[in-house]
Amino acid sequence: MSRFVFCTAQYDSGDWDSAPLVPANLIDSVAQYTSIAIAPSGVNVALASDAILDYPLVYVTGHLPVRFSAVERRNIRKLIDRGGMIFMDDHNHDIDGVFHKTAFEEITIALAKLSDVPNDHELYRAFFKFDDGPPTTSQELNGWGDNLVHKNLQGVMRDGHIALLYSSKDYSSEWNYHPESKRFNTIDNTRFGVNIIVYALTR
Amino acid sequence: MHSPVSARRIGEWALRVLSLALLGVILMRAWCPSTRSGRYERAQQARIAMSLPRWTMTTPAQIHLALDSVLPPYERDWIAAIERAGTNVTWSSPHISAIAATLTRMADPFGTSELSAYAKRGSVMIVRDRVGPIDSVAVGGGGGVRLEIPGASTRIGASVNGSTAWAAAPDSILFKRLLVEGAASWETKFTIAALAERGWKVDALTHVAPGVDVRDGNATAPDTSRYAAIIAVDSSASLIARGANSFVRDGGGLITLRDASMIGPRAAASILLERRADGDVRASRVGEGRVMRVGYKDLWRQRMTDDDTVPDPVAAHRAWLARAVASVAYAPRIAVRPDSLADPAPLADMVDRIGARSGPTGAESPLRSEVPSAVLFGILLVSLLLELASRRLRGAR
Repeated sequence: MSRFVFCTAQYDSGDWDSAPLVPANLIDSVAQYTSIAIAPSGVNVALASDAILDYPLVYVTGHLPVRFSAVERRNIRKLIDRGGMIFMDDHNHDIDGVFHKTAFEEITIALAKLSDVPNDHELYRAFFKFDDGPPTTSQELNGWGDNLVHKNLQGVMRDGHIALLYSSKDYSSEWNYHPESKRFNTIDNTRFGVNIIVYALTR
Repeated sequence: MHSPVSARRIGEWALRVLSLALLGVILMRAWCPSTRSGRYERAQQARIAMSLPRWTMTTPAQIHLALDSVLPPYERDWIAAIERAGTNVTWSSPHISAIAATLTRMADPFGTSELSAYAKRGSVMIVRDRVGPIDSVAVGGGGGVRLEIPGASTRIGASVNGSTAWAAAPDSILFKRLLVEGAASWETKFTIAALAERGWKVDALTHVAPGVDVRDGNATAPDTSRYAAIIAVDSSASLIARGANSFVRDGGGLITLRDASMIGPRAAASILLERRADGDVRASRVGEGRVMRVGYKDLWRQRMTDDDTVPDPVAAHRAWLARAVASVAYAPRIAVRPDSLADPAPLADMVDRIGARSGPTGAESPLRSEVPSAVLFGILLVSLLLELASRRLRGAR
């Protein structure tokens, strides 16, 4: 059985590699908490490449404006149509920011309009329980970016499943640290990342 | 030697006798229609349908049918009834060849049936349902054709040269559930998804961490009262491993994917079903049940392939798994009311009803066919006129 490989999407526009430590951190958490066979390192795959279809869960982040090419849009559609999932996070934590605005437009063009994911969605019970919905980030609590605590994540649904999960909460900043530093946290803040991966693999 | 006058009188008497005889025949035909039974009829296929009512009323002595294709069932029935009423029916055709078809329901909730048909080698068989043609296939070397027909068609036709065999499934399938078990992985996820998309009710048990499982449905120990087949995705399938042996021996189906090959009963012999570069697929029978061992690596990648030769990879992945399950599933069959419109072997049925192909017999050759009454009446008139003219010309009254 092939191991799960964490995939970060390289897209032509913007800064796709703005959170380089997130993959390692989430891989560490999945290995620590679950018995999922996971590859020890993630991969970066071009969104315009056919190889992106080998990775049914794709992580997309950045600060800068996002403009997908026609091939990138086609591959996003293919990935979703075949049962894959995309997790897209606004590294700016700013709903007035360029990433958020352009990403919303691109998602609408490529797939459909985003809608709120209810806070009692099974995503929040996929492994760890988050009774209040998506966990807050220190960026939200410290008033950075748009100075808002976002109540919901957004998503594009397909057949009752989340096909694309969009976060304005800046998990990319929250999880962008070396896994070794996790021991200094009272509560591991990457636990919600485990939920996203378990959700993608089991629903 | 007779004089010319006496010869003329003999001729006149002969014409009178002929006229009376013809009048008698015409009157007898008019009063007693059954006396027309000595008639011979020959009909091309296109005229048979319109001739049947007349043949029913007149019961000719013999009917010869020149056919282009096998008669439809109702014409066969009708002609068989005419034959039983005393008419000798023969038929001939330079084109008709045997065709036969059977339809078997597969254990597939999508309603797939397997059509097995026979026709002459080299012919082109058109497969149709009640709406119209759905496929065509060239009949190969052995004369046999086997096709999977998707959808819930109850009656499928196979046509060659205008002759159609209609096959109907004789039974229906009682569908039970499937149990899929494995670790949280793309293989487990997409196996569950594909089978559910196909219409199976799936109980799924996905192991995420020690003591943490994701359950869809009510996954319980394998039992043929609940499950048609069980699918072990990998070696973590402990629930299946514990009950697989008895489940299979009771008639259930077991599929093990590449990393679960150690699960379930071992058969002394197995048959090779498929082979690819990354492994093969083998099947065996154990007790009442069946076991399929899939050696392919990462079946889920079929779904994600970007191969242009596969127009719909998701459907292809789904169909592959559905076929695998259908081939091992425990699927009790329930007989259904026979389809009165089924006609699985039309030529055999026609031969059974009206006899084998033969030409018209000499005793009833077309030369002896009955002269129509109108012609007889014409001859009668001419005969009377000749007799009258002869008498007047010789001065008699």
